[in-house]
Formats: sequence, C-alpha cells, structure tokens
Amino acid sequence: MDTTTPFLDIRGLGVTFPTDDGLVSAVNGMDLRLERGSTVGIVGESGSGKTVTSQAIMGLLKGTSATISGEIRFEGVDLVGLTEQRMRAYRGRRIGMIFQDPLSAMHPFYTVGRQIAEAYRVHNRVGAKAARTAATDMLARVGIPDPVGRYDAYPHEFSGGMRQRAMIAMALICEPELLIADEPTTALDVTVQAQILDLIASLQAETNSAVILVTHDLGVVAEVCEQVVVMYGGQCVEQAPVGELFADTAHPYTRGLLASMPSMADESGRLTPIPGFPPSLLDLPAGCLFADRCPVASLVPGDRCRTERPELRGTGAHRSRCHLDELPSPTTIGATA
Amino acid sequence: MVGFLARRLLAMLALLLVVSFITFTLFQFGPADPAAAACGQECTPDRVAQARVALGMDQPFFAQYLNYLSGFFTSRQIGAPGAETLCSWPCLGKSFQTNENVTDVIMRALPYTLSMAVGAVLLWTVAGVGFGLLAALRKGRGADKLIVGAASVGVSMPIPVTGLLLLLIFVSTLHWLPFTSNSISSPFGPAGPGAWFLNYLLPWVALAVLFSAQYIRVTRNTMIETFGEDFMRTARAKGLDQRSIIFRHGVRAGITPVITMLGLDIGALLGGAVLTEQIFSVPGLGFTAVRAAMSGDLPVTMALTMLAAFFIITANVVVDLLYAAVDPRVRVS
Amino acid sequence: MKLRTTLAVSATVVLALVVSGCTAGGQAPGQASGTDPYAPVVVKAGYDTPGGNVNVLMSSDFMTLDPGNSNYVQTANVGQLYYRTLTMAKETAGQPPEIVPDLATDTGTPSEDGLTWTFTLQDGLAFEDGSPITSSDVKYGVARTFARDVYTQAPQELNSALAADDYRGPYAGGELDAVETPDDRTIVFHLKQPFAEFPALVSRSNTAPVPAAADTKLDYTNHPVSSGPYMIESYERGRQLKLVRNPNWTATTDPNRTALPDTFTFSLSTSQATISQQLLSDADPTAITLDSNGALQASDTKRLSEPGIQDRTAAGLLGCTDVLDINTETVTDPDIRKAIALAMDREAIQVQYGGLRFGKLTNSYLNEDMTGYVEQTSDLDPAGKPKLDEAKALLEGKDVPARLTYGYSNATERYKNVGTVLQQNLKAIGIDLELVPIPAANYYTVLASDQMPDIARSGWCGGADSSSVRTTADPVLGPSLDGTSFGFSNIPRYFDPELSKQMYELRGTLGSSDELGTQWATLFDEAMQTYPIVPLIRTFTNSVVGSKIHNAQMGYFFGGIDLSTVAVEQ
Repeated sequence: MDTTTPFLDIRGLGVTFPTDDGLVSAVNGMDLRLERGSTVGIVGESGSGKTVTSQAIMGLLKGTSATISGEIRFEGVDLVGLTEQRMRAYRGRRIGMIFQDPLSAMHPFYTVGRQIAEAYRVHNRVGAKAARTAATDMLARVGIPDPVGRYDAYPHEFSGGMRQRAMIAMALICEPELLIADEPTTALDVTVQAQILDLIASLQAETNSAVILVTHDLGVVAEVCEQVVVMYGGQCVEQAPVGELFADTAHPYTRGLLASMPSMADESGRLTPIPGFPPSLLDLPAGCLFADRCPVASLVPGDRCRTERPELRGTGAHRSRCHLDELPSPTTIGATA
Repeated sequence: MVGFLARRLLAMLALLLVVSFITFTLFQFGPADPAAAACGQECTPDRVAQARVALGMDQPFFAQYLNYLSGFFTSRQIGAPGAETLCSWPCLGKSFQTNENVTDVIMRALPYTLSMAVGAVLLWTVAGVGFGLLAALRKGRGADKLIVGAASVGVSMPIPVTGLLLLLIFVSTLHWLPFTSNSISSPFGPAGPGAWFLNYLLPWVALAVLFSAQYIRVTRNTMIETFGEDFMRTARAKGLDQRSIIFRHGVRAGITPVITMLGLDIGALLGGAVLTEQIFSVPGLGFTAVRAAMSGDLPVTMALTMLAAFFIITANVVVDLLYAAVDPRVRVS
Repeated sequence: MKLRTTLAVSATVVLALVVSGCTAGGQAPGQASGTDPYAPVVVKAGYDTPGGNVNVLMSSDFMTLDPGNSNYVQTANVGQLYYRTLTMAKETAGQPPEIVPDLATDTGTPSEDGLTWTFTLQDGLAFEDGSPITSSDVKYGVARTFARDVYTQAPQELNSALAADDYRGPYAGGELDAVETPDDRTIVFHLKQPFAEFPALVSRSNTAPVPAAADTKLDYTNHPVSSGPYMIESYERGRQLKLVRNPNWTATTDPNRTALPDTFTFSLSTSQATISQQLLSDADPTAITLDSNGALQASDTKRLSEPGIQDRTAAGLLGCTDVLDINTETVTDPDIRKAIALAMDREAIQVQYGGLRFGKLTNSYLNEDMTGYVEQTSDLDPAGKPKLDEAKALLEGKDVPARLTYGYSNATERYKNVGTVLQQNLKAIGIDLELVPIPAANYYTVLASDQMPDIARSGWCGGADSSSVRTTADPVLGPSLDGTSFGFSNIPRYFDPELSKQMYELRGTLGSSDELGTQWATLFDEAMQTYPIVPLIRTFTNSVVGSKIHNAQMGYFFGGIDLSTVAVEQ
C-alpha cells in the first residue's frame, strides 16, 4: 500500500492567517490519506480546522492572506504549490465541492440550471445547448422532478433539500474523482438529511469517486463513512475506520465527542458536553492541545501532556495523538473495505 | 408588472400634482411679487395692479391654478382681456420675463442639460465603478489606499472649487480647452461631435470628480461584501477563471446599490445641475431655473420644478424596474 | 497630507481669483497719466465704408424687441436699427445724448402755453413692406403703451406727461384724445403741464410707429415691423437674431444712423466668460457685445491696458449713478444724516464696484454736462475718504440712533458687501448697522413702500432726458403729483415744506430747458445740504471690440456700443 502513490495524501498541512491580534494557526500539521473510491469523514467542533482543511484541498485559500505549509498530494501532484491558473483545472473537474448552505452558495441572480450548466462548460468545450442537456440530465440524476422545467427556476424558488440536490448536481456534473462535502446536511431537515446522504452515497458508487465528508455530526459519519478523522485545534487527533472508532476509541477528545452525541445521551436525556473551551489558535500551548480539557491528562506522569505535544501514533489505520495511548493498539482493521 | 406600472404612474401623477400645487402656492404667497418685478423701478401701486392683470394674477388663486393645469390638456389663451395670445398645447404658460412659451424655453434648455448629464454620468460611472472595483480587489493594499484617499478628497471638492480650478488650469492657463460655447447643445449640431465633446469635457470632469468619489466608496464596499459571499466561493470551486468570477458573479450581484444611486443621481442631474451649469455657463435647465427664480418668473420656475420632480420620480420607477430586472427575488414579490 | 495639500492649493487658487478681482480695479484706466482717466474713447472713428456683418455677442436674449414693451437699454440700442421714433436721442460718447429729429422734420413745436406739441413726419417714410408710415401708425404705437395690463414694461415718461390719465390702451376701448392726427403727416400731443423736455419724451420707443394691422400684441416681440435701416430676417428666441437691410428705408430721411454694416447677427446665449475671452483674444474680429460692463470679468481688467487690447477698447462715462438713500422719515435729523454720510468710506465702496476702472466717485447725482447745471456743493471728501472727526463733532449732544438698517437686493453680492463696509464705518460713530436682504425682484417696490429701510442703495440713469437736470432732480427728490408729499421714486422720502413746494411749482412753469434746469439744480443743491442722499459712483464702462470694428463708441444712455454708428471692415 505504501509503495503505490496514494490518491490523496495530506502531510503536515499547516494553515495560518494573519489577523490584527496575531497569527491564527487554523491547521497545525494535519495528515490525511485517502484512497480512490473511499469515503472519509472529518469531524470536529467549529474552529477545529476541518473546513479550512477542505478549502486548502480545493485551493480556495490561494490568493488570500493564508500561509500554507506541508503537502497536499493529489495523485502525486502537490496542490499546495500549484498556481491559481493550474489549480483551476482541478476545481470542479477533478475535485468537486458541496457547501453547507446551498441558498447562499448559489448565485441568487442566475437560474439553477444555468449555474449547473456553467460548471459543465468551464471544463467541457460544448455549446450552450449541450450544456443545458447535460445539466438537465444531472438534475434528473440527483432526483429533481421535472428537471426541464426546474432548469429555469431560481435558487430561492427551490426547497432546501432540492437546492442541496442541485448543489450536488453542480459539484458532480464533471464527474470529479474527489468530492468534498462540507457540512452538506447541516442546514437541512432531519428527514431530508438522510436522502441527501443516500444520494451522495449512490452517486459515489456510480462514479467511484472518493468523498471527504466534513461534518460535526458523528452520526452522519457512522452512516456513510468508512474512515473517520477527528480534528481538534487544527490537528488530526484520531484517525480510524468507522467501526473501530466507535468500538475502540483511543483519544479522550473523541470519547468526549461521542459522549455528547444525541444517541449517547444519558438517561435523563441530557448531553454530556466536554467541559472547557478549545485552545486559542493565536497562542497554541506547547503540550497536547487538548490537555486543558482532558479528563485523563493527570494520569500521564511527569506532566508530559502540558510540556510535550504527542505524535500521531498507532498501527495501521487506527492512529491517535495521545500520551496515554503509549501501548500499541492490537487493532488490525484494514484501511480500505 | 402592468399593475405595478399603472400604480406607479398614478402615484407619479398625484405627486406631480402636489408638487405643482406647492410651487404655485409658494410663489403666490412668497416674498417676491412677480407683478412688482414685472414693472421695474417705477412700480406705482396702479402699475402693479395692471401688471397683475397682465400676468393673470388678478384672478382668484384656484382659478389661476386650474387655468394653469388646463394647459397640460389643451391650448389656451393668455393675456389681459382683449389682448390674449395663443399658448399652444402643451402649454406651461408664458414667461413673465420674455413672454416666450415656457415649453419653448424648456425645449431649448433641455439639450444642454442632457449633454452635460450624458457624459458626466458615463464618466463617473465608469471611473467610480472601475476604481471602486479595483480598490475592492486590492483591498488593504497600496492601490486601494490610494483610491480611497483620492475618493475622500474628491467627495470633499465642491463643484465651484473643482470647476474654477479646471477652468483656470485647462482654459485660462494652458489653453488646452475652449471656453464653453453656448452654441453647442448637442453632438448632432453643425459643430460636430468633436467640438461637443471638448465643450462639455470640463463640466463632465468636474461632476465626475464629485460623483465618482461616492461611487468608488459604494462600489468598493459592496464589492468587498460580495466577494465574501458564499456564491463567490462556489464560483471559484467550479473552476471559473478570475474574470468570470469577478464580473459575471461578483459585479452582477454587487451592482444593485450602484444602480439605485445612479438612477437617483441621474434623475436629480436632469432636473438641473444648478451649480455646474452656473460655473460653466451652460444654459441648461438648472441655469434657466436660477434665472427664473431670481426674476420671479413663475411659469418658468413652475415648469422646471415640475420637470425636476418628474425626472426624479421617473428615475425612481426606472430604478425599481431595473431592480426587478437584475434581481429575480424582487420579481416575485 | 495629500488631502491637505490639495485643499490648500484649491483655496489658494480661489483666493487668487478673488484677489485679482479686487486689485485689478485698483489701477487707473488705461489712458496716459495727467489726462482725465474717464475721458471717452472711441475705437477707430471716421470709417465710412458700408458692408460686412457685425457679430453681437450677448449672454442672454433680449427681454423684448417690442418698442411698446421696452424699458431696457439693450432693446433701445438694437431698436435704433429697426425702429425710428419722432425724435432721437443721438449718442455721443461720454456726454448725454442730443435730441435730434428722426421721423419728424424737427424736434417739435410747442404752443404758446406749452400744453400742445406738434410734429410733422418727413416725406417718403415707409415700413419694411413698403407701405407708408403715417401719423396714425405713430399714434397707435403710443396708444399701445397705455395698455399697461398687457405691456408691463411699457415706458411711461411720455404717457404721464400727456393729458390721458383715463386711457387704458387700444384693446380696452376708448379713444386716446391726447394725441391727434389731423392728417397723415401731422401728430399733435396735448400735455397736462408744460414740459420743456418734451422733445426728449417723444424720443422714447413709445413713438415707434406700429401698423395696427400687424399688432400681434405680446407676440409682436417676435417680429416688430421695421421702420429703420434694418429689419428682422430671423429670430430664434434664446439663440440668434439676424438683422438685414430694410430695402424701404431711405438714408436721405435719416442722417442720424450711418447704417454701414450690411447685417447684424446677435448670438443670444454666449456665456459672459466666453464673450470676454473672445473679445480680449480677438477670436472674432467682427465681434462686439451689448452686455453690461462689456461682459468683462473683474479678472480681465488688468488686460485692458495691454497694447493690442487697449486700442480696441471703447470707453466712456454713463449717465448712471449709484447712491445711498437715507430714509428722512426715520433718520429725521439732517445733522445725523450728514454725520452718517461723512463717516462713509466711499473709497472702500468703490472697490466693491470693481475699482476705478468701473466707476468714478461722484459727489452729486447731477453732472456738468446737463443743461442748466450749476455747481453742486458737498462736504464729502472728493477722494471718498471718511471724515470721522467732523462726523463725530456733528453727533455731539445728539440723540444718535443705536441701530439702523441697511436693505440690499439679495441677488447681488456687491450690495451686501457695500453693507459690510457701511457696517464698519457706522460702528466708528457708534451706530450698529443691521443688513436686511430684500428679494431682488421686489427691491424697488420695497424701497418705495413704508418698508424702506434706514439706508438703501439705488441708482438713476438720468430719466427721460439724461441731458436735463429736471428728469433727475424731480424724480429723485421731488414731491408727489399733488405736491403734498414725497414723490413715488423719491426713495429717501424727502419732503421739505418750503423746498418741495418750490419744486412742485417749478413743474408747471413755462421756460426753456436751460432756464428751468438752472432752477432745478439750485433747488436740488439746497435739498442735498440735508443729506437725504449720499452719492457714490458714476458708472464708467469699457467694452472691447474685434479688430475689424470701427466707429465703436460707448453709449452714454445704452451702456454699450452704440449700434447706430458702429461699422465693420470686410
């Protein structure tokens, strides 16, 4: 597995933004590996760096004040070093992206069909008519009834779920090999959420594309992902195949996350939120970023949690970033299905 | 849409009626007595009374007003009994000063104001939107700071200052441009479009300096806001090139406040850019209005006030229609 | 920093414009030192070749071209070209016009009692269409000017002298009995009182003949029928007026008008800045202007002494004088009025008028060119400097008003500035002066009413006959028609039981203009010793003409280039 070029290989990704208060380290040494056709979920609280990571992959931080370090290798090509011009060939064509709020993510003044057709024409030298046909087909594929008629409707004339379907159509019309879905269901009704996830899954199966699902909802991850990356303070704190993450949680933060999930609520129905706040990204602590909130940090001798940042360690597909996790895990679940 | 237009049209007529009534009333009871103005230095009470007859101001107030309004629908006779002259439709009365049909006075002044407005609006829109966009794209950098700085100077340059400066530099000192000639009212006249252009260049620039500053600020701010919108990120994520992203997606969405401003400014400008026309001696509507108001020329002042109101109201309606054309969300409601 | 520099630059420029406007007037007019700086200058006199077109640049259209509705000097000036009157006020630069026969064979014959004047029309006079000009055409022209409810600007000097108080014009019915036309060439006027200057009254546009059939009332201004050397070829309101030769005019009947140019073109809406620029640069060598002050901007004044411009500048004193009137009903004490007059810095006020170039300081409304003039006395400093000590001495022990008002026409910055000067002057003698704006349109109506402020500016240009003392002295300080109060245009509201009575009696007295003038001048001087009026500035006007323009003289009455004598080289 290590001998072949991985489909997507992120190593030591760092993203910093200058602000009036100082340098914000949004992502601090993020690592992620993804195989073709697989689905990985990135979970974490807001501000954990998951969205910044996905934007960095898309190259959307180019031309902004952000400084990016590390590597994002897509089929061996480092996207970090690409010019905006060369990056354009990846965007939409090879990497598609779905955003959280489809209403604000679509241009209010253009028809839905036109926006989808535009995405198609950027990368395909076709006339308006062919693009229209392709877009109409795509609308049909994402399950929009009367796609010909709805082609000329404006985003505000769609329901929330339909809009997200249209957004997916826009992201997938060029059949990208990688789809990044940034909180695709957050803005939607619970009933619609499942439909959208199913749609993404079925389209993924059709096109054999890889999917990065960025979410704060572990339930969603459990439903569709094979692998999970848990982010905290701009770092990957735990990475594991889905089943294993739930069965054999390694990182205290992940445990905390799981505990706060609605399904994990205690008998009184109350959630157990993790006490405390995420670290300030302006001034990262020297030790483990989670140490201040960690219920088990005191178990580690010598105050190592506060003085030494733990490495992402582990065997095979299950890795975590915790000093307590010194003992090698016996787990041997493979990375891919 | 038809209902909308009909409603706006009715409102417009009602508003014009109100404006005409207010102007008429103000003149009637204002400090300046047109009859006294009409008979010069030796205005004995007897002569003022006779001047009142000559101007039709001996009639009861409402009779005068209705008589005035009737001119919008039909020709009418104007003058003292036995010495009436015809004022053909559309009759806005005859000037108290020159006895000329007010309609003719306006039609003569209008091309000047149009000439001034056309170039000025074009210049300031292109400059204002262009520089505003550039500043937004270079937000926080040198070009942005320079443009914003220049705009804050421009917005604080009143027309008399800019106008005199321009005249002093380009006409009096460098002799690059001619003094404005009043024989050139349109590019289609005998002087030709070239002379027309040179003739109006300075007033255009003076107006543009003042106005483009506001357009720079508004464009810059709304564009910066627009560039932060989610759909701009979507456009990029599609792989669109920079130009399509900025213009097709960004400018299209961010331009609406500029359209509103432009519509209202054009409306106001057509009503007569009083100061600019004074400084550059362009005998347009504003210039004519000042003269008329100064000399107590009620019919000319009335007509110009109503024309200005008409332009402003029309501009509002046009802005509303444009809004609907630009933003599909407005169309539904 | 950037902002500040730019603003500083612009402020400097504006200041510079203002300053140059002020100082430019400070230098004396262009004539060599030692000679009278206010001597008239005629440009290239003595030219007599006909032909060519004179291009007259004007900043606005004529108010009217209708001789029956014209109280305007510009109309009177251009009117010389297309209408003739019984007599004519023939201009000579720097002097009051001379009254000479025009349509009439002479300047009229008065009856023994002075109440009837008879004129005879010359033989062979014709309108532009060739029809003969008869005495009834002249009478109709006069009759029209009685329709003041139609022609608000109809000149009234002649009308008020005629015994026709109840006549209301030809449209109201009735007959103008005061004017008789016993035959086609004879016209007889009946007067209320003897009027020595009657020949001057019939030089006004009232007596321009109007064929009754051609009277289009208020629209007559669009094409008045010509009786003069030129007729209207085209008239586009607000843009252009074109005059061409009238083929039915005969030079032999008209020695007063040289009528040398073939045509006159009037450009009616050229901005003043453009006019002065074009004239100074000689952009059009056939151009002149009728705008007041020759359309000159204050900043142009210094260029008038440049060699290429000086010899193209016609100049002369006008009949117009500006004064400050002191309300004798509110400031009743002549000593206080005199103190106010002496405290005034008239030199500083002259600067507000544009300086020496634009006006001559004067100590009287009357001038030595008037018929019957006698030396006027005044304690005012001829150089215009205030005499504060004398003023203060006059006020000692007096009940000095703490506060007075100065009314000014709100459309003219200059008159407000004059008020500011006065404010400072009067402060020096302990009087607070309040400046009160008056709507420009109603200015003279307010001054003639009991709203008259304590002090106000007014002007007078000589009246019906600017060569006569009477037509200045009587309206300005004379009594009302019945002699019991002050007259209508007597702005200071001056009434002295003794002096005013003498003026009243002088009106009906028979005598020559010269004899009567002397009496008026004497009474006027006496009245002036009580300082109801403080004379300020007599207007001096320059007008630059194109290099091909000849015989350009400054009209004393017109305030512009006299169109009846101007000529152009081809």
